[in-house]
Amino acid sequence: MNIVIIEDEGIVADDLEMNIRKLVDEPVDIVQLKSVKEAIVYFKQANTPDLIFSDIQLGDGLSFEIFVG
Amino acid sequence: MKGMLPTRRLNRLTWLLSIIISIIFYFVILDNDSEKHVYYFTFLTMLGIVLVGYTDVGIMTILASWFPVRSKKFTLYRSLFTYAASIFIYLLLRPVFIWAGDKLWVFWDISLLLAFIGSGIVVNSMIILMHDSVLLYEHKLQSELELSKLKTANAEAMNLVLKQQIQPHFLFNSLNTLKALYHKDAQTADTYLVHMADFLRASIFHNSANISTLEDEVKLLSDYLAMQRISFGTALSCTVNLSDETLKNFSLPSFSLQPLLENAIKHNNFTQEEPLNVNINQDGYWLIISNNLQKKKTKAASANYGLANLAERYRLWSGDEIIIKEDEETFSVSIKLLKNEHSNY
Repeated sequence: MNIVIIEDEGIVADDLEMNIRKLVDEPVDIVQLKSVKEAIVYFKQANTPDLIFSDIQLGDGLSFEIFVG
Repeated sequence: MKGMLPTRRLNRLTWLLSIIISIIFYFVILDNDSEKHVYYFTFLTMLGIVLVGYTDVGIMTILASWFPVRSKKFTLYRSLFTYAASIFIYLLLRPVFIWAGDKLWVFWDISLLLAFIGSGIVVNSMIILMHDSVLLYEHKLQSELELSKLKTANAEAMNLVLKQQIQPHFLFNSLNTLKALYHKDAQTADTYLVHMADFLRASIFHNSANISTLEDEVKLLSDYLAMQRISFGTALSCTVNLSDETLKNFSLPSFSLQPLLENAIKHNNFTQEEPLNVNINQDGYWLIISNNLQKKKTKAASANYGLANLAERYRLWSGDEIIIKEDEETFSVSIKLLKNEHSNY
């Protein structure tokens, strides 16, 4: 399963990643993205993930901007 | 409503009025009568005015325990009773005047009777007028005092509310970060906790003081900064360029530095590639807090309320304004440093 975490606070993202790994039995592939810019670049080249966890207020804007772009 | 009357001031005015009128009266009758009569009459005039004056104050004191001082009923009963009392007083004084003037007692001397009743009315009118001016003055003083007290209380309350607003929101966020932190890095979590404890302790102490030394303010800022840096890493930096001497010798209103950093964090975008840099410098008696401007497109809720509050508190405590400058690249706030001897310590 492919999971994307969009969160600007690294610690919170790490904690979420750890919890997901604990709770999901199958092998998961997790990617952390820290800003709108980084996320836009990532989604342009990557496959569509199965699940996205996203913070709304990021360091350089709102996460909704990623999906508009 | 009891005790609201400025009795002492009213009585003082009564005496003043009686003395002035007696002196005038003395010079008016000086030529017409024998010396002995002049003294008696002058004394009796004074006595009349003083009696009427005290009666007015007495009646007002009694009425004040039943009605509010500025009510219609109070005014009505006051006029009614004082005029009756003053006429009564002058009628009682009449025989004394007659005796003092060695005149023959004829009660039905209508013109003299009317003259005494008239005097009672005139004197009482004068007394009421004078006393009213004192009451009005007192009322004005009191309302002004109340207004200024209200203003201060309002500012204090606002101050307190804002100070306390920091706590729950801040505590909630910090605990969340801490929860995430302690699985991964117990050492950092430890550091985080220490800063958080320091920050909270300082905020408790600061809550009771209105002015703190620059040193304490910077300490508070550093604790807050350390916590935010654990969350945001290199995306956030803050440099304090202040000498030890400055730190020791100057003061600021409590909680003025940390909210400025908090504001900068709240209103700006920052990532590792485009970090937020906050600088704190001294320029003479001014402290300048500046940061690079990378404004968020979405306006944060309650924008600039904290800054307005700081400006208001600053005006209250030092009488100075704070200077806010903003251009394309930077945002800066200048606040005047207070010398330590002006502080509450």
